[in-house]
Amino acid sequence: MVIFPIVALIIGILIGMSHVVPLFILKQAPSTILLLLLFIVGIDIGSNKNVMKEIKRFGLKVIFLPLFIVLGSLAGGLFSGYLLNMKYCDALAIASGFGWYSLSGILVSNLANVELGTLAFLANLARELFSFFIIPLISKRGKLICIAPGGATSMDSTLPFIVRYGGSEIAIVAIVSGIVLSALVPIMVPFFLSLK
Amino acid sequence: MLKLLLALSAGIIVGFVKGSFSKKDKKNIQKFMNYLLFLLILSMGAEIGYDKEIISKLPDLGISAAFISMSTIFGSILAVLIMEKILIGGQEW
Repeated sequence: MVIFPIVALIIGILIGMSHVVPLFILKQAPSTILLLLLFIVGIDIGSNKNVMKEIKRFGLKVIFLPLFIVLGSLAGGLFSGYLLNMKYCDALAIASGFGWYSLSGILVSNLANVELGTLAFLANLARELFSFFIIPLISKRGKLICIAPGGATSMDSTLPFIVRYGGSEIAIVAIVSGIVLSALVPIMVPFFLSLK
Repeated sequence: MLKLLLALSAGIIVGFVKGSFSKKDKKNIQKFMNYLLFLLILSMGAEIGYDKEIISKLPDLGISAAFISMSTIFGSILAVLIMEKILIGGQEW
């Protein structure tokens, strides 16, 4: 189960590098596939009678989930920043991308410098890609932790993985968490960069 | 973003109207999802592979980027486990 995302990624990169498929198809393909996936995820949610029960069980506690994901991401960012000898505010700014690589890459490039922006882009892209491998691995340990790796992407690209491996009961929680984290990216990234 | 929410809502309505699925149908849906997940990663990989700029930066920044992302991922997982301990005494939610 872990092997299939890795194989898919490697084949994909090789196809891309070979330049046999035109760019307009490459640009369109992921979002089209994601649309179809989210439609199916929706069917899964709609037909699951436990969804309402789960939402009631979570209640207002649901707001704690993105909060803890923020704290965990920042702690992880500080830890890696310390070992990589980075400035703490730079590391925190990159960690505050929460996997939204396009936005955090642009924000950091504009507010700091292009090299740090590239690192923010790659680190957050890697967060999204690694989530594809890690969610199937940790899903046996619990449902809620499946939402953690994807960060802001738990409302789009990692949502199908969360639902497939964690169950459609937690889909709404994942979407709420993804929306909250996405809203925080354009606030927190500039904030940490302003501390320099 | 709006398109994604529309697709999701359309699916929820279809699923709600259709009601529950048989075991066989559920298996088929999961299988279909697996193919699509494979295609999703493949197509994202292809988009990355096509971009020479990303590939050319990997030797310099790849290791640091991978390390930062892994730290944030495991930090988040750990934080959620701690949250479960605090809020519901460590049972599975």
